[in-house]
Amino acid sequence: MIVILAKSGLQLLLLLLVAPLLTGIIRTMKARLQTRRGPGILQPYRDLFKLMHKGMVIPDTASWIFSAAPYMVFVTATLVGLMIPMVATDAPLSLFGGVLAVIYLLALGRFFLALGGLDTGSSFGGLGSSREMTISAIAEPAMMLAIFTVALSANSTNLSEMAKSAVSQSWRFLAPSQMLAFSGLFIVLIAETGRIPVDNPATHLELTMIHEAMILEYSGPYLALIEWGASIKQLVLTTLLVNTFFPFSLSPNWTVSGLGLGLFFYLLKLLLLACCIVLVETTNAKMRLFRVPELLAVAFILGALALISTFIF
Amino acid sequence: MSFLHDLQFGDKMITLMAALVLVLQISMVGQRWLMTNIRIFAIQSFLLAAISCTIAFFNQANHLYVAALLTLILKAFVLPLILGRVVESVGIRQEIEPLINVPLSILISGGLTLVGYVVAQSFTIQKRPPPRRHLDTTPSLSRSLCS
Repeated sequence: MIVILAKSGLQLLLLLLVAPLLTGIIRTMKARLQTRRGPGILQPYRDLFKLMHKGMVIPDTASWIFSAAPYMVFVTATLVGLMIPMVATDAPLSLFGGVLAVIYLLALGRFFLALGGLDTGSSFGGLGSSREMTISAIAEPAMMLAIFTVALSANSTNLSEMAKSAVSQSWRFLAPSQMLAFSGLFIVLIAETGRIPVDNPATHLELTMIHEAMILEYSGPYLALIEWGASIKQLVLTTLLVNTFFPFSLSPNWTVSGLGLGLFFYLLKLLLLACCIVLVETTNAKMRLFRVPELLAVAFILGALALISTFIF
Repeated sequence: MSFLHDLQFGDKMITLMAALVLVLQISMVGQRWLMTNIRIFAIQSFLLAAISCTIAFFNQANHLYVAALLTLILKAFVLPLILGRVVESVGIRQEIEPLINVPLSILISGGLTLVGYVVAQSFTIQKRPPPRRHLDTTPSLSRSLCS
């Protein structure tokens, strides 16, 4: 019991601290690629700190859902973060549930965020919620298919078991099904974190905004919770991508030396994936809203082909 | 470097690159920009050259290096350049409107890939021991139907 608590505490600390850092690194790299100076890597921390100390404006029309949504978004993202292996192969809460729990906890957070957008009755919130649901309706099955591909070759839907079996099978990441599943999940990551071909994370003033439209009515600590939750969700998805497909550096046990080495390689892998995301974001233009399902259809077919390839190869 | 002489490793590299070709192919069907299509075609040709290079290296078939070189020069550099010029001169910078809409053509290419898998499997059953299975037939099939 105490061991689980200690492990959870460590991973929670890592999760809460690294999430804004990843956002900051992506923003800074993006700025440098566009020959801007950018606000600096630590800016998301400063933003969160500032928002936490501000007052809140709550619309008269808001019900309890408006207040519950930020907590739900934050808590579900954090819970999911404790269920996936970050530095060591066994995640602290891996007994709590496998891949399906991860996917549906993320869906629960998204559901409450969409409700929060709808709750105040403003037209922008409704727009954002409806768009978010449209996109996730296709992104979710694509994500499932991609993860099931890995689960099939590991014979388990438990993420820790998946990581362990992947560590033991060398060269498995060279299999074509893994390649297809990785590409599918990468597109889902772009869509779920609201990055450029799907949504623009840097603007509140675009008519095609999705995530920003839902949280337009939030301010102060609630906004901080939502922003922090969103960056944790982003970290969780990148970790899922990095650690299920390239799990070599995961430490098999919770010793200090193993964790140190694991942490180093984990951050390195995150940095590499962040580079890929930045490259995609700067080389692509934002898609028109009705083209987004086409991109997600690509992810879905890639996931489906990956799943079928595991039976053939 | 022991794995450089391991035939199994070569096989894995080839299937991996073939899978990458497949990914590129589906992304090609999934987007509408003409110039991007040409660029993806160039990358695909580069991968194709890499595949024949790998086969030549692991099976000591030196004549395949020539094929790889020809593919690299003609398909990865010359052809995309010429196609780029043609697009320039015709003046189509916009997206193309496909005859079949994009989600449907992605579905069709997915289905054709499955057909390709099944067809390729009957090849590998005929000649044993199980050799490498190529995915190459499929992209060309789906390309011819969807473009």
